[in-house]
Amino acid sequence: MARKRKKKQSLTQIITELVIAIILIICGCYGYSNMTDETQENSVNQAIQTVSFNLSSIPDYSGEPYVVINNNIPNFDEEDYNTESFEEYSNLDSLGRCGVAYANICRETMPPEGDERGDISSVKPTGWVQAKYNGEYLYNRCHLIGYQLSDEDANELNIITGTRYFNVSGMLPFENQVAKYITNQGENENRHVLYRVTPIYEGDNLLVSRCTNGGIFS
Amino acid sequence: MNLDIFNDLINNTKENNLACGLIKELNEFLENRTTRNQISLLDKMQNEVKITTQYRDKMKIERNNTLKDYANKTSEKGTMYYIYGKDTKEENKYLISVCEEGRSHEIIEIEEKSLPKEAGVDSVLRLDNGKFTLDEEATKIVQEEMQEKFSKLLNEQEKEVMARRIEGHLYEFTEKSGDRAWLIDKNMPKNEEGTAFEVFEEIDFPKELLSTAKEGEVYQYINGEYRKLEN
Repeated sequence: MARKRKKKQSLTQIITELVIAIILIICGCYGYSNMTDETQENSVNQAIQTVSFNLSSIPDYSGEPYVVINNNIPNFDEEDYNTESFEEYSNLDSLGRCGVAYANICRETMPPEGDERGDISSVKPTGWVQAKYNGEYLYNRCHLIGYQLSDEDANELNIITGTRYFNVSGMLPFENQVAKYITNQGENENRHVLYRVTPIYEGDNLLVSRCTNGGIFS
Repeated sequence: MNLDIFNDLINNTKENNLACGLIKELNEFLENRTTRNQISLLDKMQNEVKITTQYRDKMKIERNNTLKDYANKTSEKGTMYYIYGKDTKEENKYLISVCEEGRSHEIIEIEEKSLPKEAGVDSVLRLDNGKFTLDEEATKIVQEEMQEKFSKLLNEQEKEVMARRIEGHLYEFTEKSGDRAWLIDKNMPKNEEGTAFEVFEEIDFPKELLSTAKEGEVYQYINGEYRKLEN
């Protein structure tokens, strides 16, 4: 992974699983590996992680910006079920496309109250185009992990090209849900949310076909 | 390094001074590279020449296609790998892609010490007895092919960019991004109702106008330059 920022917390809460609805995706594969000095061929074959989804299990688009898959059960490593906050953004691939963004969200990863997101126009994600229709722009630069959760502005590892609909109706409701859960906590609480966004590409397509969102609330 | 290809390209693109100059400079860049290369040919081009977002993407696709095609032709040598960049957060790590259909999203992150000493960004690698080795011939061939394709794309970009600048047309400013402007040609709507417009990237918008331009302002292209249209 490209970047990891970690902070330790002192309290642990009882973990209850409350899974965020997951956005529909089409089957796609991604992978990355971390090489060591050991036999590189074995490392290449073993360490490349592939995530794939069975197309036949995903219902057709029915007018909603997301659907639930895998019975609403996310797939996180239990070793991440803790209060150590972090943010990980995958390196861009050889076509310049974003990969998985994964974070343990808490108050500390979020921007300070009153802070406004900076200018992100310097980032031109793959497939970036723009069009104006009836006075409205069709496309947005979409954060994989929203600014309100990560305090990330113009991080090219965290921004993809998406439609305004995808950004506002697809991603934002889940981000708002997580933000609300964390900001509404009591004084002695220490709420965390494991949050992972996986962009899925078809072949060499520069635009994301679908995204999966998964989360677990502490 | 075979310079004939560059001479041919220069002769064939004599009318395009931009491409000629760039080809010569790229040639010098390659010839003078003696240490482990840290920056790709494509990134160097983007630092030297203004390339639109669209053509940046096209060049990356062409790069990948070139690698896949060559990998297919030389499949008897085993899987082909390509060092496409450096890890932005960990200085001593390089990023490798797998040159196979359907694997373009895979990334191998490898420490510098695990690379062959002559290998750097833009190198083609193979696995030999479980270790990465530099395929010098493949590196040379694919780089030459990439240069040729990039130069053609650059020519294509220049024509497209110039074709956008139409005498007398009105252009609405939508966004500034670095040193370039994103504009709408208000004289060329995409629908009959005149409510749909494509936004395009103008890489040579005057700096003095760009610094103060605001979304919604209208400019007119007159006598080869953009001028702000006063209300």
